[in-house]
Amino acid sequence: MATPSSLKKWTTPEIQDRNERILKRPKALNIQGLDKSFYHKGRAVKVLEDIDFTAYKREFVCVVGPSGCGKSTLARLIAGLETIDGGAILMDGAETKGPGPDRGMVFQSYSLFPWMTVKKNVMFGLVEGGMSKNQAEIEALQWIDLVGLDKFAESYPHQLSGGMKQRVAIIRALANQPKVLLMDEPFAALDPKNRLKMQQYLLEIWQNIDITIFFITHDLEEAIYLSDRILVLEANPGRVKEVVSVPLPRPRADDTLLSEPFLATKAYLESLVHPVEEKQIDMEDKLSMVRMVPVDSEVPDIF
Amino acid sequence: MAQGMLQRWTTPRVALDKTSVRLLTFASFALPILVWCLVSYVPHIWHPKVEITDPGGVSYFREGTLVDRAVFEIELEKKLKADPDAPAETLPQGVPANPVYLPAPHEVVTAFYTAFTTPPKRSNEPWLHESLWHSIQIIAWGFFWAMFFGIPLGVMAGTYAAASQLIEPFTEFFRYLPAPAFGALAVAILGIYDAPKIAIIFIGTFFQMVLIVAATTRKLNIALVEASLTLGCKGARMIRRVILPGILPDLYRDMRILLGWAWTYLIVAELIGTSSGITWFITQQARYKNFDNVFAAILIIGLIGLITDMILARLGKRLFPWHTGK
Ligand SMILES: Nc1ncnc2c1ncn2[C@@H]1O[C@H](COP(=O)(O)OP(=O)(O)OP(=O)(O)O)[C@@H](O)[C@H]1O
Ligand SMILES: [Mg+2]
Repeated sequence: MATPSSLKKWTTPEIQDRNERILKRPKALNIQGLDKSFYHKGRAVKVLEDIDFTAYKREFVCVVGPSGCGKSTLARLIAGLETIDGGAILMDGAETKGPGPDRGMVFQSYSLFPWMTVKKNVMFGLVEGGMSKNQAEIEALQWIDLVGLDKFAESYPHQLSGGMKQRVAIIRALANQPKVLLMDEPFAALDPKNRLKMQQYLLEIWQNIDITIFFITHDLEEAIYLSDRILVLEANPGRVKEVVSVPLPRPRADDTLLSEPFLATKAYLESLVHPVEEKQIDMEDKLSMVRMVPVDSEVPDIF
Repeated sequence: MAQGMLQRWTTPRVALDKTSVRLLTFASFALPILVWCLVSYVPHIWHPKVEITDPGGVSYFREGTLVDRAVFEIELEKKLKADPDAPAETLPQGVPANPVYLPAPHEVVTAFYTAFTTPPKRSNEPWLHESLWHSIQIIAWGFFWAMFFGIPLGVMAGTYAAASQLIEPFTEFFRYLPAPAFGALAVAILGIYDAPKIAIIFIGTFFQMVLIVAATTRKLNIALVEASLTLGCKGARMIRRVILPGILPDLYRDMRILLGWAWTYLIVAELIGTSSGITWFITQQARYKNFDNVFAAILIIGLIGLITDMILARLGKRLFPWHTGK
């Protein structure tokens, strides 16, 4: 897992030091030789093969890879929502069995309980964990306050915007104090401005509590901006291609998205995720089809 | 504007404006009533009978009886043949009429009132409102027991594949057995009074209910179940905290639809054992040829069904404010 040469020059001693310190922390999540197949019309299709990966305490890990490489499946396996074919997933050294509150999950589709108010949604996990209603309410309101939704504590999810729903989904998971928070493309449905705001929120919260975040995205910039290390998967079957340490200081500078190390990391990830340029689809061929469609003569040819 | 309205009416799956809703709802009732009025009041649209107003010497004609139009014409023909110069007053006379089983709207409207005020023929027989109340009780009990057993079984079947496999194949088979076919059996086991009637309502709705509730439960967004799992919720608590509240609005809608079915089984149920309730009233009135009362009673059933459904729909909107889809 050596730093690739193209990124080496950006890895300053401080960053190097920080990255090494992370790897010395206790293991929060330990994936060992994980295999997973799905059965499609009686034929097994291998989705994940021999995944080995460790996330350390309070680390922010992003997972990227081509579409269909099994990122979501990996998150669901960790959460215990799918059964493991081979290998093991360990939390704090103990093998996981089925879903549990130590692994929170935030889904792309929010998955808030529509019949509960924002407050009740956030209280849900707390009450399930055995906390008294009053105590759960106090804690829930603190979380709601933290993400600026105090005015909406008594609103139902359908009355909220997408970004607000996602904030509720995140604090609902966080309030439960999971050791690992799994997030499957949580911001994919948001517009760029809201997404950036949510990313900043998330970093803020993450820096202030004891939690390991396992964040799936297909947005490479998002991955670089957020994470300490990036797990790059390859497809068919899904395997670990590389684990890249991000050569950027924390906290991220405001102009980090335009900085040279950022762009170099992005270029490098790009080359990993889309190795050989996918065969150029012959656009000419397809265009000839389009040309067969008569163009309305009143529309001037603008090209 | 009219054109815009028409366009809306003919565009698939587009919500209607308020005016159109009112207009079409009104028309939905007005059109059948209009047809009924036309058939009743405009002569010779149908009117296959003649109501005798003057027998005119025909031996078997009585004032007020209904005879077929053809029969009336034959008799009239005979009279004219016998005496071509007979004055009009001495000939049989009558007005076009519909058969007695199709009373005119105004007769049925008055029957709505008179059916309630007419005392029963015998002192031990129930009044109409008593008959109705009896019917409602039969429905309520049959439906209550169907829900009492049907909802838990349906929810279990919709939640656990194992429960589904155990419950649904037999239910699927049993729901094809016509409930009325169990009438004789129900009487043999449960006696001749209310119990077998309640049993028929139960048999008619329970099996459908299990399957419908199971399907509704399965339609609950699996992501909600998964979210609750990752929040540390499982087993019976999950059913109580996530599955039941999650399906409640749809469950409520299912019950509304099934309650309508229960009413359709009512008539058969009430013919079993000793005839009772609204069915007894209808058969009794038909025997006396009071078809206006028969129609009134049938319409009352329809009205009770429609009104309860409307109340339940309103109530549903209040009970489930988060449920935005219908
Ligand atoms: N329940 C399932 N049954 C059968 N095949 C499945 C199932 N879930 C996922 N797969 C298959 O597993 C592969 C990986 O799916 P997965 O959703 O994990 O990919 P992904 O990396 O998250 O993709 P994306 O970036 O598009 O979200 C896909 O080929 C998919 O068809
Ligand atoms: Mg995915």
